[in-house]
Amino acid sequence: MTVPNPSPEAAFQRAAEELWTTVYRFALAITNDLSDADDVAQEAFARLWTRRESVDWNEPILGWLLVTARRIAVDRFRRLARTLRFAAAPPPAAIDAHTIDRFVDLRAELARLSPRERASILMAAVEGLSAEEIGAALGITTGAVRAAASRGRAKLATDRR
Amino acid sequence: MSARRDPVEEWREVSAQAAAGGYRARARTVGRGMVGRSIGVVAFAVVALVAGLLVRALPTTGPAATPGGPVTASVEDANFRLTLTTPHGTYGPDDPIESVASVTYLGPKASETMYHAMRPMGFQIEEVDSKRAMGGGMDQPCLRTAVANGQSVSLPFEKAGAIADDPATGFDRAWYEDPVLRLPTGTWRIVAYLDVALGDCGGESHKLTVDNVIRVVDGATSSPTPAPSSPTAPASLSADAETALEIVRKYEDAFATDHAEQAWPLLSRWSKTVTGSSATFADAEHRWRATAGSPVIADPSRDPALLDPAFLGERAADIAASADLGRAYVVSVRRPEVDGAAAATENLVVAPTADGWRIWIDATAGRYGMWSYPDGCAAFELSPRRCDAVVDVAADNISYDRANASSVLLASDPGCGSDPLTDEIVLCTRSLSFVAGVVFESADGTSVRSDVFCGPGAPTLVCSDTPGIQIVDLHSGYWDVPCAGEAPDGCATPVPFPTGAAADVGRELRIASVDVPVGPIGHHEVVLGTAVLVNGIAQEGTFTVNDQLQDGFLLDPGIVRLELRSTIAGRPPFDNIYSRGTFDGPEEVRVFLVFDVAEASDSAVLHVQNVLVK
Repeated sequence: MTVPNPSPEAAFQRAAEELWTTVYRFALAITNDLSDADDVAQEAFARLWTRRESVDWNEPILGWLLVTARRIAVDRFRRLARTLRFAAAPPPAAIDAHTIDRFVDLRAELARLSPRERASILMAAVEGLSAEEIGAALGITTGAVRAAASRGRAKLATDRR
Repeated sequence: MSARRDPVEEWREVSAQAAAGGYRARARTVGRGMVGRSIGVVAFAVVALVAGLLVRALPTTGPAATPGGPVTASVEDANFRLTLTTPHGTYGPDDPIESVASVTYLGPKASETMYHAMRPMGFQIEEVDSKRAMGGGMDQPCLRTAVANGQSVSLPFEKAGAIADDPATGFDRAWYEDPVLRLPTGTWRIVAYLDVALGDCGGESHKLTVDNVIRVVDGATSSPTPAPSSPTAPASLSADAETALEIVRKYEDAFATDHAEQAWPLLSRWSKTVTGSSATFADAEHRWRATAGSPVIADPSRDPALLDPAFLGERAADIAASADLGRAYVVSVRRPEVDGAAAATENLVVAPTADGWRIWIDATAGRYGMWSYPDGCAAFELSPRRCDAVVDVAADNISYDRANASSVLLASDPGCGSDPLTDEIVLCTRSLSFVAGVVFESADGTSVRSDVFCGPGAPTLVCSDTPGIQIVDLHSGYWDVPCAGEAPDGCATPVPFPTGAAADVGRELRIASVDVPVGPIGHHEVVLGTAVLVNGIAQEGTFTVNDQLQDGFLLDPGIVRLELRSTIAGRPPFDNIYSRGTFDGPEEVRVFLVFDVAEASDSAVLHVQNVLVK
């Protein structure tokens, strides 16, 4: 008996359920902003949706999502618009006030790190991604990932003295 | 006093809670892949051709949605332009909607044959912010359509897709069987896609997608439409709004026709100051537009929320101080998604000043024309490898340790110091070509900029992904300057060389061609052979690496040097005849190729030719 492949829609739904947190966290590590992270992650999945019929769902899709999220996050006009959104767009309503409060202090502490440093540290420690996976997502070498993580940890240690 | 928590652990918890909302599907433009191949799985319902009105396509550079008038948008690649035109932006539920797609051949040939499924273009419909959709699709025979250069093939809208059981997600059989497109109230995105191949079915693929967004409103009727090419704006726009729209169209057209100098005078003084120079403006806008889709200019708006200082940002104070804020408009320029860049909207503010109507660009002072590294490398047409080399060189040039940078930005051409408040585009007169500016930002808030240029010198990765190879040899041996004065006033001549029996002791090294393995990373000294010089005088020491690029390896510096080294102990190196002197009798020398390898594949070789040492 053969098991039919799931439809692209079903495969997408499964990917959204399984990978959303990882993609959101990656976007949050890069942007250091709850609103931007949500926007970036939503956009990454929306792009996956538009490509659902051409995607080989038998292959891992996380790498593609992370690279796409990075590209979205660094898009020039999103960066320009971000200054406007700080005033215009509150954090997503789905996030409770307590979480937002906790993130305020954390955000200030992590703002001392570059996006690359944050992603290199947090995605390894929290999501368990390898240096190779993080490097592929960030478009840098594994050596650069390790160097960024090292610099980031040093900054965090300095901050906490 | 409580101990502070580990920020990583804190981040783990906060990010998990923030992510708990999950993915929320939202309406987006549907870009279908190769329809002729992928649509075979779609359950097919009805394909009905709408005998619609053929509307002449608008130019690519002038897409705009006007309230009662046509909605049109174009997108193109190197070979084709796809244009979708819908006669009106607003319809009533009973109005026929007569969208037309057209494809124009732009390629290098006099005519081209497009291979495609049932038709070269297809249509889809999506309800914005809801689920109703017509998925499109067509049978997949391999048909072909010829199109002459500059000519268009038009196709009116036609329905195709699967009948939906649930009216909340699609349309029923009766709707599909009606050849006329009518839509329920709501906001709808009509999508046209081009899906063709060149050469044969399965050949070079060309896919383009473009959309029109229209509204269907109860009680509305589609008013008579001016011809799409009519320059007159719809009467519903005020005179000021028409002016604002015209200014932005002129601004966008300037870039579309590669005349940034025509856009520069349209900027407000604030915008000019933010950009820094006309050269920076032209360079930055060119880079960004090279990766962005064709613009769609929205209607001018005086929505108070858009004119709120919190939305306008840094430019708000200047607009209030130097322009008539009561007549200011926000004009949004939307660019569709293209590979490598997200869909983006730039909100321009257009307002009258004492000097006329001017534009306030959507920018942040100090960041205009900058891209973050490494993602911005594409804007500078730099491969990741080359971009990294550029940043390295930028850091070296100012003795900056890259490890100290909290972030790195790539910056546009700084120009040549022209006054940004003039309307002139000042061209730089440089002997070097600009590659990129690199801004290193430190955690303490300071930053430093280093600009990288290319010019004469050893070929490097900074200036090319496949740099050439500079050869350094002895040319035609030692020369003297026996005439009065130095060259060019004097006349350089070869050093006197012995003749007769004294010269017979010499033995030249001559190699027509040899492939020298580049070898592993590091310093290399490869022996080519030996030669015997008469009285220690080098008459000639030459070689070539004809037309070879550093492809598959990288030399740093990009130099291959030919060196002669005497086998007689104590003899000085070969630099010049004066410091080295002559030698009484034959002098054997070993001939080396010297180079430093920074990167190499196992099979990389130097194609050395025409070695001659005597």
